[in-house]
Parts: sequence; C-alpha cells; structure tokens
Amino acid sequence: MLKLKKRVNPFSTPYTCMRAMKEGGIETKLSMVLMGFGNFMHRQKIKGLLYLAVEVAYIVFMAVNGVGFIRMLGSLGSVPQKEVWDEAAQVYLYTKGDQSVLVLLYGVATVLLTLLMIWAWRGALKSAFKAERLDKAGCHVNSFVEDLKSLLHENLHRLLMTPSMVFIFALTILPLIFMICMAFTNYSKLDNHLMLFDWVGFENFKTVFDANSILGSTFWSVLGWTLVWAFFATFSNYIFGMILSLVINRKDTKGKGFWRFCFVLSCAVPMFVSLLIMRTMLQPNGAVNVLLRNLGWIAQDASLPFFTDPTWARVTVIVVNIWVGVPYTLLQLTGVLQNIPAELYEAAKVDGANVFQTFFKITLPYMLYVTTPYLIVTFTGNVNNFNVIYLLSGGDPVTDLASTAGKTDLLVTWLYKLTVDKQYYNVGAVIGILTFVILAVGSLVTFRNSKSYKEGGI
Amino acid sequence: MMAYAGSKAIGVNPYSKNMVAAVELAVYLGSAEAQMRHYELRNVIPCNTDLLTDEAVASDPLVSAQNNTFNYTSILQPFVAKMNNCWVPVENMGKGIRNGSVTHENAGEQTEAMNQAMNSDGI
Repeated sequence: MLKLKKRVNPFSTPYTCMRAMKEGGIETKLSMVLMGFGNFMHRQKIKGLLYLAVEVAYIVFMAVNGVGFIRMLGSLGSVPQKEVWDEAAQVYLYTKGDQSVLVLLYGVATVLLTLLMIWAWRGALKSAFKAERLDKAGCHVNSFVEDLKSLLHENLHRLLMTPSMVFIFALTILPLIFMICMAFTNYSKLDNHLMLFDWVGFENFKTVFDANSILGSTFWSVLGWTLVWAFFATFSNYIFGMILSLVINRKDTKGKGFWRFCFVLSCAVPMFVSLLIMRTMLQPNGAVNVLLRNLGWIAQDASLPFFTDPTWARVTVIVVNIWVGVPYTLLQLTGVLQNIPAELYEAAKVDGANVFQTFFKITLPYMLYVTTPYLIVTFTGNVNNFNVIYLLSGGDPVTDLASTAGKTDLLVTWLYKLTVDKQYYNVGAVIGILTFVILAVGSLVTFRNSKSYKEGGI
Repeated sequence: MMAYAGSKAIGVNPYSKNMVAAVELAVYLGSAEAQMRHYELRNVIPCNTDLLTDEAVASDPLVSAQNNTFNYTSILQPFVAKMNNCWVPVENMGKGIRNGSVTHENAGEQTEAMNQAMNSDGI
C-alpha cells in the first residue's frame, strides 16, 4: 500500500507567489497587472522591460488571433467550402471553408500558450517580490549582467533545461494533447467528416467497449490476441535464450565463442529483411511448401496454411519471432549467468544437488530477480511489436470480412490499418489511448509488486 | 459479377490564383486533340467518342475490346466514400477461391457474407 508522506521541499525559498500576493508592497501588487513593474522600480530595469515585452506580446497575440482560436474550439468550425459561379470569367471560384483539424490544433496550441503565460506571470511576480525585499533590506540586487552570469553557475539548470523543455512542449506534449482530443470527435472518413467534424464526447469509447458492435467485438478479440502474443513472444524468447546460454556457458562446452557467434548471427541481418524473406518463404507457393511437395510429404496441390489458417498463422508468427529475438536474450542472459557467484554452485555440488535442482533453486531465481524489469520492458515492447506482425503476416488471415482487423493483428497494427488505410482517425486515437492505459497500468502494477522493486535492489 | 469502369480525370486546385488559366489548361489537356496525341505517342486509349471516326483509332482491336468491355460488361464505379470498403472483402474472396476455402457448396453464403462485409463500415 502507498503511504502518504508529507513532502519536504529541499529547495524552499521565502519568495513564493502566495507571499508575494499577500505581503508584497504596492510595486509588487501592481506587477500582477503590469508584469515587470516591480523589477523596474527596484534597480532591475532590463529584466523589468523584458517581462513587460513578454506580456505585451502575449496580449497582442491573444487580441489578434488567440481569442478567435479559443472561441472556435467549441464548434470546431462550421463553414464548408463554397462554390461560386463567376459569370464574367466563366469559371467556378471557391471560397476557403473551415478546416476542423486546423481549428483544433490552433485552439489547443493557444490553450497551452496561455498555460505557459500563467507560469511566466508567476515567475515575474516572484521575481518582483524578491527584488523588493532585497532592495528594502539594503542587500545587493542582481543587475542584468550578473543575472546572465548566474545562469552559468547556480541557475545552470534553467539554462540547460529550457531548450529541451521547449522542444518537448512543442513536439511531444502538444501533439499528444491534440491527438487525445481527436478521440472525442468524429474525425473520420465516415459520413464525410474529414474537413469538418464535431465533438462527440465519449461515444467512440462506448462503441469500442460495446461487444455487440463490429468495432467492439473486434477490439476485444484483438486485445485478447495481443496479450497472448506478448506473453508467448516474451517468454518463448526468454526460455530459449536461457537454455542456449546455459548450454553454451557450461564448463565442458568447447568453442564457446563459436557457438555464441552462430546463434547471434540471426541479428546481423536487419530484422525487416529477415521477416520479409520469411513471409515470402511461407506463402502457399513459397519455398517451404514447394520443398515439402518435392519431398512428397504433402500432396501436389496442397500447401500448408502458414498464413491462411488463423491458428497456424498465430503459431507461425510466434515461432518466427523466436528466430528473430533469441540473439538478444541470449546475450543478455549470458551476462547475467556469468555474474552468478561460483561459490553457490560449488556449495550445491558439495551438498549433492543434481542439475535440475541447481537450476531451479539457484540459477532461475537469481535470473528472474535480476531480469524482472527487463521482462516487463520486453512485454511492453511486444504488445507494441509492429514490425514482426505487420511485415510477417500483415494481420492475415482476415476471416471476419466485416471487421477491420485480421486474426493476427495487434492493437498497434490494427491502429495502423484504421488510420492509414481506412482514415478512421477518431477510432485510431481511441485505440491509442486504450493501448497506453493498458500498458501503463500493467507495467506499474507488475513492477511495484516485483521483488526487485520491493527489496530496493533496482 | 460485372467489372468496375472508370477513367482518368483532370482537376484544378480550387485555391489557384489563376483560376481562368488553370481551367483553360485543364480543358486543353482533356480535349480531343490532346487525347489523340496521347494515343499516338503513348498508346493511351482515348475516351473521347468523337475520335472513333478516325480510322487509326477505329481499326485498333485494343480500342474496340476496351470499349466493348466498358459498354457491355461493366458498371460505372461509384464516387461515394463507401467504395473504400469494397476492396478488402473482394480480395479476400479471391484468396478464398484460390486456396479452396470457397467451394461450390458454400459459394452462395460466402457471396452473401462478402456483400454484407462490403456494405459495412467496420464500426
């Protein structure tokens, strides 16, 4: 269970926003309206002017564009493209209508900009309060040049974090919020909602969870297969990698380097090349089936249904994934194996333990303890393993023709088909959100309950 | 089952700054004269029926074959957005016929299933 501890702020400073608003002098209180006024009055003229410039820029932006963007956010644009017959020129002229995607984007960007502005306002207030206090106490107030120099010393964190925060805000947080908002609209090719769409609230989520609709039944079956696939893909690679690393690492094995080279070789070829070649080889008229026919093991016009029968296809992708993924687990587990203290094995031999007892009582618990975070990360990665499924089977076979997903589709490949092939962007956004929620909850719960976290070893 | 018939179209950007010139260019590129040149230089079969009076076009067996297919064994492909939903079920029907899961016995119900799938939007 989580215990709530009162958080002690190790960086506490007496110049907080609340104290500024309550105990500040008249200049600080005026800074709430006119940013930078307090700084200007207390010998920090350039800093004060900079804060004022920021406020003026924000107000101008909001007056010219910002208020319009936020106001359109409710309706998401309603003016379609209009066609007008120009008699004089004898052509049709078109007026630009609203594009709901752009309306949404600009609205979200303006909201985020407003949040940034509130943060800057708080900073200005705190800085005015600090300048007033220091000036009234007769202490030294930093000039602009000294403030710039302090950026290289005690305020180094501000200098180094600002560029990365700017990029994260613009390139990660803004697109993320924008796409999450898409899940609550009807932005899709259905009913011609690609140019103009509206808010529909939780209707998309209701359709996805409703097992009676085609979308809902597809979702539950794809989710079930995704979890089964992630489990089998992770553990089959782990077990085979462990077996191989144990066998190669034995004292009596000769040519350890050579054997490791053989089994790691399959990761030297780029993964997508191996997968595409495997896909071609396993087709109904591909190399494997032709070989089996020539050997006489199957009839002359028959072929093994590697990707045409659902169960065969599911087993095939798991088995091919073993071939592609074993090198990585082999290397990882070899490293872990070589770190097990040798005294444990000697003590076990003295006590008369056989191979199986040594494995189950010494090797396996130690490996599981050390590699639990690795297993969780690999499980998460396999839930989102787009390459293997899309390149190997493409989600085939499609047995339910009305649904948008095949029998080997994961949530992430289904999302690709929904957005790129069918242009159902709102449903894609919903699936993306649900994938994230499932993964986050699963990873957090598993990690917090694992021994490595509880004993503080990791 | 009939085939879908369609042809190329030449469009104009609705936000073009020189709308009159753009429309005139489009009209020229689709005119009988341009189609004749395409036929001579690139063997692209013209769709302008006035050109059928030209003896080079009229005596070409490819032209008459394509026009007969167009006129007698196909229907015009609809322009609605729902056309997107029809290709995957048709492809899967083809795969099913080829790998033997569609047989004489279940052909009727498989076609019905394909029809239902083509008319559903997957939601």
